[in-house]
Amino acid sequence: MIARFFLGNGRADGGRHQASLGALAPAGVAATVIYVLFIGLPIVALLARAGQQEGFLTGLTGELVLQALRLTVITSVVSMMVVVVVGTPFALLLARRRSTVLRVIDTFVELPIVLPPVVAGVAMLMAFGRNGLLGPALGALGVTLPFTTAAVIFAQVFVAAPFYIRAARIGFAGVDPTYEEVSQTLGVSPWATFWRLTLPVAWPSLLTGLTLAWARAVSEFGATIMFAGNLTGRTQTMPLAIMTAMESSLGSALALAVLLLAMSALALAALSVLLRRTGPTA
Amino acid sequence: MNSRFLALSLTAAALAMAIAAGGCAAAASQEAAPADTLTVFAAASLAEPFRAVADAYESANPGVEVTFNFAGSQALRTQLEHGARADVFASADWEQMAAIRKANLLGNTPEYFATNRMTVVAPAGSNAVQSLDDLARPGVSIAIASAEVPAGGYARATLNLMAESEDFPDNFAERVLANVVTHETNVRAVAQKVALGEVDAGMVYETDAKTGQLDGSFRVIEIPLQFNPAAEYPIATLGESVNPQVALDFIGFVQGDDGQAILRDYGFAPPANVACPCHDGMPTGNLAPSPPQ
Repeated sequence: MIARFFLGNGRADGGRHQASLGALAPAGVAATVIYVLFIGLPIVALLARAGQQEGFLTGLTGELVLQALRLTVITSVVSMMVVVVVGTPFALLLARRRSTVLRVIDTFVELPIVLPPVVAGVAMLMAFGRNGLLGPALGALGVTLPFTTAAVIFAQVFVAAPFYIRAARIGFAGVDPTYEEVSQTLGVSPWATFWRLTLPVAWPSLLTGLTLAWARAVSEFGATIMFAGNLTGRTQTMPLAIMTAMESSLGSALALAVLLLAMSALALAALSVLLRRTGPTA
Repeated sequence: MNSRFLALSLTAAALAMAIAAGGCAAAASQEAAPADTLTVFAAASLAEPFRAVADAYESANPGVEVTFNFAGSQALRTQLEHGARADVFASADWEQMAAIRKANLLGNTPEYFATNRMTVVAPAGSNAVQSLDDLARPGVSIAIASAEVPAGGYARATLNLMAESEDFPDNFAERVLANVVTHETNVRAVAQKVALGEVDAGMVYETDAKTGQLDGSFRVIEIPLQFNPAAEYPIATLGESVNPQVALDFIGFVQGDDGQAILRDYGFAPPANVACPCHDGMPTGNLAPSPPQ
């Protein structure tokens, strides 16, 4: 009964490999318990402490928290619009065409995922800063990027876009080009084919990628503080506000942390509901 | 079957936890200092002089190894409040030291060991800010440390003193603060933004400006003494110090002739009075001018 409680009846692969777990099951259960505790305990501790912390409720509605929340929501939504508009056609091209240039680009698309964000921040200062590579040209046009809300969006797009592009490329690659050809032979325009065939089939991948990219944009810290600075209401997103508040008001820091946690959990839940509704085969 | 499954699961879990605990213990015992390692938490502005002081101290005391954690004093205070282990805390203002004292984390009575003053720095290649008045001109971009950082507190104090005087307009402080584009978490991050030329001016310590002037990246615009209260740096041992004797000895070295000579080389002045103000309180040092010396 205990074993069934933990392991259930079904198997993840639909029962094709009945004997594979066997004696390893207890080790698997033990590892699961330890891992869940390891991840769960800090989160429970955060919530428990927030509940008791003096200044948590006032922090939740305080200026610092509200401004950081507003800025984070606006910048991350704009970033995701940029990522989708640029990333979708780019991912489609990567999935459909093969050339040496594209193969090289494909390899480097994921560089920002492994690059420390603070390096991205320094690199963006060197490129778009007032004394950066493009600084004089931008200055001549009257544009200053560092320490503006636009710089926050730059930082978010830089670090988050690969999560969407990678997932979108895999999604598009999973759509059999024969169907698209057939559709077009039947007189459906390429645009309509994309909207009515390619996009719906690749949709779960795109949605997953977009959720991951959004979560990464919302949590962006290193590149932002380096390239966009730390100014309440203009460039101080929630992660930056948490760090600033940790040094002055633990209540506000915990309020921000709980809000970010709730946003992440909601995003995951929404993704799971949407994917279930769309269905695995879409 | 069920009891066997449970027993096996428990055994596996216990084994894994034992391994993890063993790993932690091993890591902890590596961390636990050999008798002669001294951990010093010091304000970011002390980075270069304290490294030099530590070198001198280590050569005078073979076998002692000094390790540092440099950051904004308020960040160090937060770390100490949340259980970080250290032997010595050197803060750039009294407020952070007072918070540690109030939390009963100190090992002895703090004493002042150095003073510093604020100054305005501008990138060598920029002409946007030539005088203190220029700081309030619309369109000028300024970096300062955030209000919790000692250097941020001192910067706001000097601006308020200027605004109160007849030499500057009444709303001088507000107009300068409206030009601030970033609140950095330590004074060195302010200096770095100025050195990169990303802002038109920044407010840092004279000692930070001195380092930057040497390599030619800053222009200095001095703040007259009447607007420029001394930034006084206190130092103390921590109650949890594993090496209280060595910690006291190191503080003695900092306050002694050798330590003071090194600090002077880096632009720090000796304290007017070493005695600790020993109030728990509120920012008298930060927001009001210091008494005439």
